[in-house]
Amino acid sequence: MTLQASHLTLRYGRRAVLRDVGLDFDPTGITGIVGPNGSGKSSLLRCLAGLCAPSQGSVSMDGRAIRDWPARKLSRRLAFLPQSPQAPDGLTLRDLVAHGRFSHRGFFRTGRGDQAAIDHALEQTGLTALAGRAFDSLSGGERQRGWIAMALAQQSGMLLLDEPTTWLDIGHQIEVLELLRRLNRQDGLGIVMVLHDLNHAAAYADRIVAIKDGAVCADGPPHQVVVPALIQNLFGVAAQVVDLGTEHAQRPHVVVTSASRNVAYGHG
Amino acid sequence: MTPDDPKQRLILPFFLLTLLLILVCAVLTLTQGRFATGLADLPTALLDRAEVTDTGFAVRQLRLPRAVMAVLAGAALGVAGALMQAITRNPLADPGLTGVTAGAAFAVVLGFTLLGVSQAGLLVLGTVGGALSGALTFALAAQRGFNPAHLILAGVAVAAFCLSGINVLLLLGATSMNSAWFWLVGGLANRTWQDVGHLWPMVLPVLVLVWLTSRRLDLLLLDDDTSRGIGLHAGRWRLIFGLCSVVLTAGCVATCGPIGFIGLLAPHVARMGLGGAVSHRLLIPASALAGAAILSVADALAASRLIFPTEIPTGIPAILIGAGMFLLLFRNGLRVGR
Repeated sequence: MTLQASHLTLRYGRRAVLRDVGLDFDPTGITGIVGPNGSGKSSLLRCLAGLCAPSQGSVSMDGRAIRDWPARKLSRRLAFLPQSPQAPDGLTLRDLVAHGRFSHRGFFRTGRGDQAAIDHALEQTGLTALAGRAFDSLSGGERQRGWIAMALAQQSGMLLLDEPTTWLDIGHQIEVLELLRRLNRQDGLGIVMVLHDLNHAAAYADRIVAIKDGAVCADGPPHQVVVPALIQNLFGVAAQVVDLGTEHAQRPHVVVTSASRNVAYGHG
Repeated sequence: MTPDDPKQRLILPFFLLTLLLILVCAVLTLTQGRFATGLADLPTALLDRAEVTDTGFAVRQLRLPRAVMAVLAGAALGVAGALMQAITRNPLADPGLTGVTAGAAFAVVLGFTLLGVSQAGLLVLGTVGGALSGALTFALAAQRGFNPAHLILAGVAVAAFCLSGINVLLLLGATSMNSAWFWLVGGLANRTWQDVGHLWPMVLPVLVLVWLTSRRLDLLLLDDDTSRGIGLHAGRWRLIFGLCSVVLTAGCVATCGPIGFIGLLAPHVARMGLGGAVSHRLLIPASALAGAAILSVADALAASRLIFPTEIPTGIPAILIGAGMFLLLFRNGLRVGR
């Protein structure tokens, strides 16, 4: 499976949100997309998921433009979770996860293996015991794992997530990131996610793509991308980068040393 | 829904109860009226086509189509209401929200007052008028993927436009004002097999289509990006279900006039009867039954002279029952459910 953006440009009116972005995504790894607010990182993810029509260029999966894939067929290959998904009242967790089976279900019958897929998704996210609970009675961390379970029930090869740790406290943030890493390492799920915390990206991504003003400004493994010069360029703050890694892997960690911002604010 | 869900236990009682209510009302409608028919005479009056009596004529040609219309129109309005509540994610949405009721009424009043169209012509005119104004609402909301807020605003504008048109027509065409007013209250009196013949081809196929695709209604209650992520074009299906609602409602208004509250109420009654939010697989047939039952009760009250001294338009008891039940439901809190 391949997912690639080439010469991707997106304009809202006259404003270019993305300019000439070219990226190939590894279907087996974890890619973190980082950048300041308004840099276009969420727009990039939405384009990758086929949610917006590019003004120029294209996103393609397996050589076919993403917008040409029928929605149901696409969702069996590529799952997407927006930043703050909304669930209606009166739904149990299991009902919500079952929604992920939509693209596998036929006109009349429930799809083969539906129940098994739902059970498996609940098990992977550690939610089996909560399956019968009302979704709106769950905690923020449980709800986010519930959304991920819904995406897992799609049994796609890749999962795109927009800031999956938003609104969570630091314990639940780590819990969600650990879950995503486990899904990637154990179950081979390819992950592309927008993250606002550079340290999360450095700790959990195999590859970091930095976006500024709608263009890719750095792309590579964390220890190459997360360097003081880039942080200064992206966020306008002075920072030191320390290595918290082991002998097996480097793991850069950002410590902001000066809060004074000395770059012009990007638009939006 | 898991098999041991308490809601499962309410399904059969709810369906049986509404069916029973519909049956009782049908018997009332068939036996009561300008002259009462004994329950014992009903089978002969219904089945013996050879017997050309006043009773037989009244039962077969006047009362039976009326009872059938109550079930058909009630079911159609109930489902139209459930559709509108799902696509706008708003528990207060009713089928008239797309402007279709006002549009159909405008067309019929136009036919009454200025054009002098025949009864059959009014059916077609009302249906086309309703469908056009509903389509106009969706066209106005098309830019933003038929998003709920835009749909509601566009519908309100279209409805207001049509309603002011009705007022202008009523003021201009003073001669036929009485019959126009009577029609605008909504009623099933004097409905014939011709009306049934007009309504069922519009209602039954749409109900089947909606039921077969009802899983998508559950997904429409999620936000658009999330439902797209699991494989549903939210905008496209809001349009399809919205047009289904428009067809159902236009047919009802053209044949029965603008009967209020049933489309708004039926889905809530269905949810209450089933013990809370349920999937649309279940909610759609339940709303159809609830709508049919409410309209049957209202029409039995209107036709039978059991409570009111004379026959009154169905729209009046429908509003009374509707508003009363709505207040009752309101205390328990309204929701779209899933």
